[in-house]
Amino acid sequence: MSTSQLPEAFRDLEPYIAWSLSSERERIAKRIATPMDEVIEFHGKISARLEAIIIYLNQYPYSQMPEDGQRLCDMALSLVEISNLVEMYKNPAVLNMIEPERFVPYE
Amino acid sequence: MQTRMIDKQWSEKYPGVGKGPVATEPCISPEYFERERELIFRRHWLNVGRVDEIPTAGKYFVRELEVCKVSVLVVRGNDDQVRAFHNVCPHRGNTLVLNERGTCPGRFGCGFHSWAFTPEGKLAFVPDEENFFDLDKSQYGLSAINCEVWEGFIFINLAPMPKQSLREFLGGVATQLDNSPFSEMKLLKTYKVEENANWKTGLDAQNELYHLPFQHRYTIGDSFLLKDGKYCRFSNVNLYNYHSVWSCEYNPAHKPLPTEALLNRMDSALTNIRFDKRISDFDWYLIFPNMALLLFTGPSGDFFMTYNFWPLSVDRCLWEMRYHFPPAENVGQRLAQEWTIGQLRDTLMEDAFQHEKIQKGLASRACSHMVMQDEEITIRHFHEVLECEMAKV
Repeated sequence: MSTSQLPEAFRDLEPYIAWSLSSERERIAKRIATPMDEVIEFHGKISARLEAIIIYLNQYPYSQMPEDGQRLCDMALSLVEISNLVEMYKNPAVLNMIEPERFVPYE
Repeated sequence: MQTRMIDKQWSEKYPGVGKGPVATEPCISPEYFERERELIFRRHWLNVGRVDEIPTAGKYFVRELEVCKVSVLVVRGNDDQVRAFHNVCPHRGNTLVLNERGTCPGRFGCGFHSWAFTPEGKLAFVPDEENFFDLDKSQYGLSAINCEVWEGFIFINLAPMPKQSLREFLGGVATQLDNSPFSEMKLLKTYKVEENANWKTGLDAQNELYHLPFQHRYTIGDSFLLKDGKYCRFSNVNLYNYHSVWSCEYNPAHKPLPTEALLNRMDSALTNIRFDKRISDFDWYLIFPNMALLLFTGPSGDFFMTYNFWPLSVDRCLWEMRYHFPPAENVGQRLAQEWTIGQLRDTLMEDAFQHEKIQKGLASRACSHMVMQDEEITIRHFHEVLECEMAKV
């Protein structure tokens, strides 16, 4: 497929391209909107490749990332966003936290 | 390990600080809040931002200090000096700048009659000037607010004649942190939350670690060194005239989560920016009245955060949190930073939830005072300073 959005070596992650989101607000919204079993599946696939992703993307200075590399980086940022849900809270909604929509990020 | 796990050591170090109960009334009394507007927020240096928010001439930001009903325009002039003004046109009192931040296009123009001001605050142009009566334009520049900068932190003081310079006010905090590499770290993320809590309820809840293993048991409960594996203890406490700092060590027995462990291992950078004057792994400064400055050590460089608690009313405040990191050199470093930010964010979201529950409890007047132990000494100190300042009429 010539329309791949990710670097050649990471085309197997193409089914998760919807997680490639450039802002924290978008990543939080996606986290909240996604059923837990899908979050767990995404976590499993991406975290297994995380070390390879970092080694691959570390060849570029952070401020000079090619577009497909940036999309892969944004996908890894989504993994960071949801990793605690799967690894710690085991739950999409964390107990006793203020409502996410009131806690507003600015980047 | 520098932490001494002995009881009541801070009151021994600072025997002048009380051990009795602390009144809850200041957190719930509308009358007390009205006095705070004048005696605290109009008389002390207040941190409103950092110089890197306005890196070049003409850049500006506006902060609404609702507690003083003042809109502050902070701008870097063409002479590179950072100044603060009332964001008010001196002609008829209209609000001058409507954007929260931006670059002055040569002049700040008032939307009412197009009076125009330089980034240095001088009145440069008045339409139909000849029709005024002996108008001396030099008398109608923007109304200046005292503004001083320490290590890139911009402070303003609304008192007509501040009784101390910023440097004198910061005292031991400035001595401790002079020449630290704050400017080598950049603002990466800001969070803002409007809380249904008095500003001090939020600040007090942040000003200790006693709660950490309990309230944050699902997030960062084991991050810091624990006495008997159970209770947080500071490694150091310093009290200054107005301010304070407590420090603590990371817990070597902390069990990292899988993603955390991988990111820590992959977090590498050529530059390694460190706070030489860090007291321990984590230092938490309270800069009176409403700012906290947090210094952390991280795997590939140190970083810092600021909190600003802005009162909105007796039982509402705006809590601003800003994270400053060394600019990421590579994705490994950036992802590790994002993980750290997210981990702390979730903890702070737990805190914000808690602040409102505490305020609700205090407002019920079920308790007239709070009982505090030795690891809560900096909260006591803050309330003693506050009382002292509130007594100065």
